[in-house]
Amino acid sequence: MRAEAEKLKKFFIKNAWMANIVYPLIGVGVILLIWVIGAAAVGMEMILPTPSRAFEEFFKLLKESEFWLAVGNTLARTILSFVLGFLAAAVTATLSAFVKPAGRIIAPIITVLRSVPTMSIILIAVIALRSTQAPVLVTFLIVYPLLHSSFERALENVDPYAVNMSKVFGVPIYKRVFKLYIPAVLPDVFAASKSNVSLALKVMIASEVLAQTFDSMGVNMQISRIYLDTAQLMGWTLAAIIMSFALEGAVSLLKRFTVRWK
Amino acid sequence: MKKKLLITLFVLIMTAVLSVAVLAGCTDDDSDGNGAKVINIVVPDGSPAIALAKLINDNSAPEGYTVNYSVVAGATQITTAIANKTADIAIAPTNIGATIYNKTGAVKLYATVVQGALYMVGKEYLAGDTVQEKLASLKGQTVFNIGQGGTPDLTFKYILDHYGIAYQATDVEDESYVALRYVTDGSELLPMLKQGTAKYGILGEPAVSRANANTGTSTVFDIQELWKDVTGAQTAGFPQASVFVTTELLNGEHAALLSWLSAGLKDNAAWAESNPATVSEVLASKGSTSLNGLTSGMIEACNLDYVSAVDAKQAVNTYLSALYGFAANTVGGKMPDDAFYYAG
Amino acid sequence: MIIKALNKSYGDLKIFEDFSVEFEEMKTTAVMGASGVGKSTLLNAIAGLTDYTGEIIKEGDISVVFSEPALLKNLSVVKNLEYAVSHAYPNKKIPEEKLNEVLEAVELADRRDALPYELSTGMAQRVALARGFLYPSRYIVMDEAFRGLDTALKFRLKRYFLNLLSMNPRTVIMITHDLDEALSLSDRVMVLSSRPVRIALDISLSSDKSTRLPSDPEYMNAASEYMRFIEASI
Repeated sequence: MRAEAEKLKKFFIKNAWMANIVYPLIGVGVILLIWVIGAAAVGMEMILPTPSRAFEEFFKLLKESEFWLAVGNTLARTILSFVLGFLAAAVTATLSAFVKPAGRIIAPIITVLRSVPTMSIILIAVIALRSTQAPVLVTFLIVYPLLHSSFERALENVDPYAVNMSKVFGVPIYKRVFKLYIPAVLPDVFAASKSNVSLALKVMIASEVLAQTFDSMGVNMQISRIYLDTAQLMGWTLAAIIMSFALEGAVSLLKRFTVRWK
Repeated sequence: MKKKLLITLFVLIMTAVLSVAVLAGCTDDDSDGNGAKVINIVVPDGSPAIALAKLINDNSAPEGYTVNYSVVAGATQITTAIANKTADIAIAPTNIGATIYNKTGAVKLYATVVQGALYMVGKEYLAGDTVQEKLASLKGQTVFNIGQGGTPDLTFKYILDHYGIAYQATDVEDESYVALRYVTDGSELLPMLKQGTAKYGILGEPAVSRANANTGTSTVFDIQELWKDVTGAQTAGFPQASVFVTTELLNGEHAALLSWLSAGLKDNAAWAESNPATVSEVLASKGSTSLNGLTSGMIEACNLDYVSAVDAKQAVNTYLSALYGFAANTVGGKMPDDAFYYAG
Repeated sequence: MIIKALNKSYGDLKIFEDFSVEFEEMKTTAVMGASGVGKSTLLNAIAGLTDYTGEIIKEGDISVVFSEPALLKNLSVVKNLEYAVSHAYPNKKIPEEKLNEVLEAVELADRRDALPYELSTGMAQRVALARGFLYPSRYIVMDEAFRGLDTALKFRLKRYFLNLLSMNPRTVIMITHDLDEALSLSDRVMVLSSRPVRIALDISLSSDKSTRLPSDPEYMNAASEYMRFIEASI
């Protein structure tokens, strides 16, 4: 048993470069292959440009100040919406988990928020708010209920024996919070954050289109689209994918940081 | 381990090949069962669709042709239709046609059919006697437009530039410039005008008439008139939408089809203005969702004049070079050459 | 510890109705009874983990040894003990000699910095046992604390328990399903019957627990009394 485990461990350590680099590269290669074949089959750049054209447009965009302005604005709004959603979810999930009546009030609100079509939130927000605010509200309203549910589940999954033990032994609240609850929920919190931060970016870009937010990635994508500049649209898309990776990477980095802290 | 990897790769590649095969598998059929040539005409919803109303209503095709019509949601579908050859004739924004021409050479401009249907509506009249003064009075105000970077936006900016009036895309109003804000669609602007969250907006007919009838606005500018003032007198004014025909139909073998097309388009304006209810009805039957309840006045305001490519060339050139001045990609990267215009 | 007129029901289901019992101070009482009879509810009521009506008179704090180790995954053995216990000591610090004494009693002195995943089930349960005795409580409540352990492990754990108990005398209430556990570790075995809960059998053992053997007459008499009771109640 032990020898077996040791062997397995060795295999993974020795093959870490393989698991971390080669396999993902194969995955990316498959996507590019489908893209190349697809572009060749369609045979028209206006409809589906080749990957090389998309990358060319992407590097062209990198040189433009408007690109950086749009990326900066969209990124800042995404982070703002996400952080607001995160904080609200942290507060309401804690309330739900520890104060039963509050949980009963919050639960239906979350269910409603989760089931409201994104489109109607967008349409109402666009009329009521400024074009720079509406996408923030929309992204918040999409991300918040998802984070709330994840956080609540994480809190409910904290080892009930450890919770009861802390109660019986009269462990002070601050100790319970910092030693028991936070370390126990952190992995789930980070997992939920990672998947929701890239969702936030997607929702942000979509609502920027609908809110016609100036100097934003969404509107720039739409302008590329209406002028049939699909290669440039793909260039913007590549930028969005890279931003997604960067945001998820930032969450992972934060995770490493806090793991050390606890 | 190796075996698993190979199987995974195989499955992934098969998926890729299959999905491409499905995508590419949409074939087109050029003739119907009776041997007549099938001609598909597509048009985006909105004022350009009205240009086709008479042809759709007459439902007559020249000998040897079967003609189908469809009203689609927007310019992207038009492009796709032309690209995969499911459309032979299309009405499209003039600059989009130029883009398709520049990128594929698949179509030529046959005639312009909508000479601009853009108007600025406002909750209040503008102070001043001249256009210059009126436009200047918009400083410190917000003007809403449809689609940032779209042709209505660029046209209005071109006019403001001409009069030397500063503008800025922003949520913040300031006395030193005209603030520009955007909606995706005219229908979004109407509730904002009604509520008063928007005071001025640039809209296309028939949304203009709806705004004036329901939201307490009135027309403060005819963008076409401003355009003419700015660019100098033009025979064809402001060539917003045009008819584009695929080059295969322009090789001389389809003269009967083309003369039938010209005739139907030429007679359309007068017929449509006197039969607004029929126009709404026939276009709805082909897939339009935004043209119910048309009136003669609305149709008239759409400026549906037919101008052949030869006569419209100068006006189109002026219009496209104005757009080109803002961004080359608005016309497909470069100004179209002479071959863009169908010489007849 | 005296429990007076305890009432507890879940919905319409009355678990305890006017239930009274007294647990003798500094003695170990084993509480037995069929599954679902209400043993865990009794423990939760004593530990303050559930609400009830009636009166539970305690003269000091309680510590609990659950059937699961209930260790915090991210903390070492010592940190786990500190987490649960240190606030009960002056200066919020467990005296070093006290800590060593308890760790040695459960033979974990060399694993003080191990993390829970590095411990076997038996070791983890020993930490829980150590924690129960380290807490300066008057009472220790044990909820099937030796459940799921193999015979050899159980044997060792029982020895650790008796060892700890002799060093730190407490009033122990021990919930168990295991007759041998009850007879070899306690001074009194109490069997509960249900709906509502009543004491159906009450056996006292007077010999010294630490030297008591299954071959002792007292042990054997108690065992046969229990078996007769079980047979009669089927």
